Amino acid sequence: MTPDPRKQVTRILKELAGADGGGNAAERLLPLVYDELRGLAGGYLRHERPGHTLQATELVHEAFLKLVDQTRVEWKGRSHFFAVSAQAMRRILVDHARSRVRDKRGGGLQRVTLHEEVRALPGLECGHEDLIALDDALRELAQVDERQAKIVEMKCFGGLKVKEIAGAIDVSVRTVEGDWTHARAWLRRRLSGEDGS
Amino acid sequence: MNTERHQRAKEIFLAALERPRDERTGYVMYVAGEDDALVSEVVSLLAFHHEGEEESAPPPRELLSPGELFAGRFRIVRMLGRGGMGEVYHAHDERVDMPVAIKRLLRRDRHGSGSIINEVRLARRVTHPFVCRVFDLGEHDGAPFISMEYVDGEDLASLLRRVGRLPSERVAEIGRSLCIGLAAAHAQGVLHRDLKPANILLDAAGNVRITDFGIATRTGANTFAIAGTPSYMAPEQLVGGTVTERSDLYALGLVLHELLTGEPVFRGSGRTEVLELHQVKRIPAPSKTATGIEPSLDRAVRKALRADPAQRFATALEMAAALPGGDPLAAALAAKVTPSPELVAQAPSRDQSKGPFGVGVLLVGLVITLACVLGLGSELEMIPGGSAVEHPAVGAHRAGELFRSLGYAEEESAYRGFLMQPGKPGERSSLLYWYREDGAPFRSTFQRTILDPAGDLIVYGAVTPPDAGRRVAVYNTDRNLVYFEASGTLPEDRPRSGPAAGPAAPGEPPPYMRTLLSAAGLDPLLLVPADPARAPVIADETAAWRAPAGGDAGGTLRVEAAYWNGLPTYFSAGPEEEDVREALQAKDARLAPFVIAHVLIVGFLLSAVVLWYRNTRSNRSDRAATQKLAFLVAALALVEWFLLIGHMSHPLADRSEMLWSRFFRVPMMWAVIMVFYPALEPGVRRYWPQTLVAWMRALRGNFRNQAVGRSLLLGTLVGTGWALLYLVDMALPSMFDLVRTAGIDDSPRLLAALGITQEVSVLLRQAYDAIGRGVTILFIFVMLRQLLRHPVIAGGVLALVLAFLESNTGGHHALSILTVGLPIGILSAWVLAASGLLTYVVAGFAYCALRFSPLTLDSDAWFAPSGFLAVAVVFLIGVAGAFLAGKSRATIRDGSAIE
Repeated sequence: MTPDPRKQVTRILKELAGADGGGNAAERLLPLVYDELRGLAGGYLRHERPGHTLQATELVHEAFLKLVDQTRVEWKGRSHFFAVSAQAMRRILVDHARSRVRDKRGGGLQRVTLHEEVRALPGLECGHEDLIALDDALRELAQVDERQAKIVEMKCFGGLKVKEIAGAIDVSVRTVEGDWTHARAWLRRRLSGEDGS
Repeated sequence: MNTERHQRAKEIFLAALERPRDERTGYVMYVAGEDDALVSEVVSLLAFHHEGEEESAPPPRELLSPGELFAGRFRIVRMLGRGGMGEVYHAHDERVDMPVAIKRLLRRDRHGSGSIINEVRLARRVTHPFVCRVFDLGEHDGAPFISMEYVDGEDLASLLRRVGRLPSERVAEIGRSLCIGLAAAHAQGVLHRDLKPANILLDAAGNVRITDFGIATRTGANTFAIAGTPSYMAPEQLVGGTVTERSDLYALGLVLHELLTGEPVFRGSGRTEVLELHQVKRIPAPSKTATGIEPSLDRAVRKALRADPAQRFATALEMAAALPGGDPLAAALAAKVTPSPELVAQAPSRDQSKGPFGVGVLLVGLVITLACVLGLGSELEMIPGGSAVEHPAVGAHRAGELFRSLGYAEEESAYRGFLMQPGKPGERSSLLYWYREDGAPFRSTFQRTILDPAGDLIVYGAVTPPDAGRRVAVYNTDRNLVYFEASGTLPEDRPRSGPAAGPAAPGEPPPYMRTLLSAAGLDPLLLVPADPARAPVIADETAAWRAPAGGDAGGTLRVEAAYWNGLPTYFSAGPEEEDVREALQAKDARLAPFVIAHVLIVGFLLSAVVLWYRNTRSNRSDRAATQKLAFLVAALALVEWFLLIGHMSHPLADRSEMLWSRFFRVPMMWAVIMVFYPALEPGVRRYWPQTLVAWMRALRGNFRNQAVGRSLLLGTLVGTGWALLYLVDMALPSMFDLVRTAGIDDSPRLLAALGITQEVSVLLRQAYDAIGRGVTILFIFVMLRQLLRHPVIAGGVLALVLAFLESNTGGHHALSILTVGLPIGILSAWVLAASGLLTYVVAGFAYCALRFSPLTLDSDAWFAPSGFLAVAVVFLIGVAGAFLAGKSRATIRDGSAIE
């Protein structure tokens, strides 16, 4: 018998918010969130809703409303949830995109909209290749600055606000803003293929 | 690039952004110094950053300027506003010379043009003064646009910005109008889904217009897309759940809340943000933040804003009714939708406040009118002969004796009753008493023997005719036998023989005739032989005479008799020109009215079935009330049937009538209500719901209120008044030498006279007849109103029709249409219009109850209890009405209960 995921998730988030940081709580949270998001995104991925754009951050919020008892989780636990969700969402979308590109099959999800601020990045509104490119770029970024890559992930795939990101990774708001501004320019350059370095 | 270099580049990049744009490159070179790689890294990042900033700025829009001609037809006057999808301009349509509003989408994208087509399609379904009309859809320079009604005024959002907040009364007024507009849209199956202050216009006269059906949908349409303005969306709309009428009402609640307090309830940019607000914020009552708000308005807004849709108002009309000063029925009429039966029952009745007459005055009026009716009825001898009429049991005894003395055995089943024999023109009809015994089943009376061509003897006719075994005696009020017949009785123990004694002398009546002649009060010596004309053919012997008629009238009587199988089988004594048997049988010989009536009935039935089908399919019918009413009517008919089990309506009626044909009325009445009520009632409710308020309340068991009380009281008073008119009309011919007309249907009264049981059965019949008649006539009235477009003219036509019908069935002379028909017709129309269906049904019942009961003041008359019962029933209904009306007023005064 599997316990109610809602209760489980809420309990893990409370542990995460606790003094010890919850140990391996984050690792236990990921599969639960992944499953829920996978279910929510399923309709879009199987192309059951033609003409509709998958809104990644909207889905993450929906998962949050479904999985978390908000009367029992504080904003910090909330940020943790979104941080993990962003990771899960990224995996789902990128895995899907990779399998589509590999199989060269038609159908399936055509367009993905990430967080609206990311629209400033070229070509991020649609296409599997763009997603894969973004994923690759983020991996590359993570090698030089893991925190910055994490911030981008939370922003793009989780729709977290700056303040929430700051809470989730325990840094100042100013730092997050700076990392994000810089990452945007960095990604633009990286994705436009004019990487000078 | 390693981690340190990345961090360093990031630092310099961010520091550079703090500076003005044209100083940034210089700053980078100054800080990074000789590290060319670092400088070029940061400078390229800055370049990409700037590029991104430029791209995310909105592209400049090519706006239309005043005076410009758009799409070769619309002269732009000015821009009214711009939103996410495009701009709205005030323009002049030069082709039709009319001001219009043009809404234009700038970008041509699939989503946008789909939405604009949707807007035109759905907005066009709704034609209502409170909904902004959409004229047409066009395309110019690749951008779709729509032209719509130009409303010279402002939207509520800008009004709020200007004045802060609106006074309670104005909000209630706007709220009512919005409810009506929404009800009209919902009735067409259109959900607005984006109601907000910016989408509600007030024209120069202050009337509202709902605009922007851009994201409207059909009710029940399955949409995945979550659309709308998050701050004005219902919770279920925010999470992508099923959007219903109640979601629009939630949005309306938010708008009213904002109008009252001047502040939007939710301020959020995105769907998820607003959704979170919904989960953490409890919406405060408008009265918490603003003062001077009417409590009922406060309550209505709070109810509209319940998170659970099931707890909100079910319909826009219901919400309109809950707003202060809202008359839900007027709102329904204004929105051109059919109000639900519950809404009608809950509507305030018009005579809730003190009517033209108080309860006391009406009650006193009822007592006086009833007394007049009773007195006049007694004076006029509603049963001709009055107390001089013999008790039916005495008549039965005499007739029984006659049968025995003629040789007929005593039978168990005996029936009796009265008949009215229409008098000659100018004379009152006369009363006939009849007695009938039915024998046990017996052999055929139509046994015939015939020689066929081959010479064989054929016996046929083994059929028992329906009247077999029947013997009937009819007496006039002087207790003289006027008619006797015995159909085919053939007691087995009697020998078959010819006439026992044969004619004694030529021209003289045979001996068996003596008994009959003395029963008829005729002197055998005065008889003159004649040729038989009326006696039955199957007889051993027939005979006929002429005799001088007794009494003042003079003239000749024709006396006929027949003898068969040793028993007298036929006797009649009546005026030469009048055959008693024919008079008994002729129920309605006039063919034309019969045919016309049946053609009308069949036509009416067919259209009723069509209406029934349509109303049931569209779920407009009032199922609960239909079943209740059908059950009530069937129950009344069942009890009536049960009470009349031992009764025969007519001396020559079929025996089967007693059980089956009368019992058949029970399921038939049930079926008639089950078809006719759902067929007719929704139309009435749609166009004239005010007439159904008290009726709906009574049908829902809610008697304790003034509307029902007053209807009962007023109904009995009006009905008694009609009965008085009827009696006055009855008195007129003798007073003014008018020619009395025949053919008045008195049979229910003659039945009621037989005893209390029969009286009760008559009252039951009048009750369900009144219900059926009331619903039908009200429906006809409503149709006339819709057809003639003028309530007074429709009332006049209805009054004329009813006057014609009434004078035909209840008139006593040629001018009855003036003396009784028109007054009753006009009063009927007035009662229906002013007080409604319940009053009319009660009036119809009271009228027929009194008219068809043997009213008399003479307590010695054996039929007096029947008359008294009718008067008592009518009086008690009136008193109950007065009690209910008075009681409900008392509770209102206490403040403990308000209707």
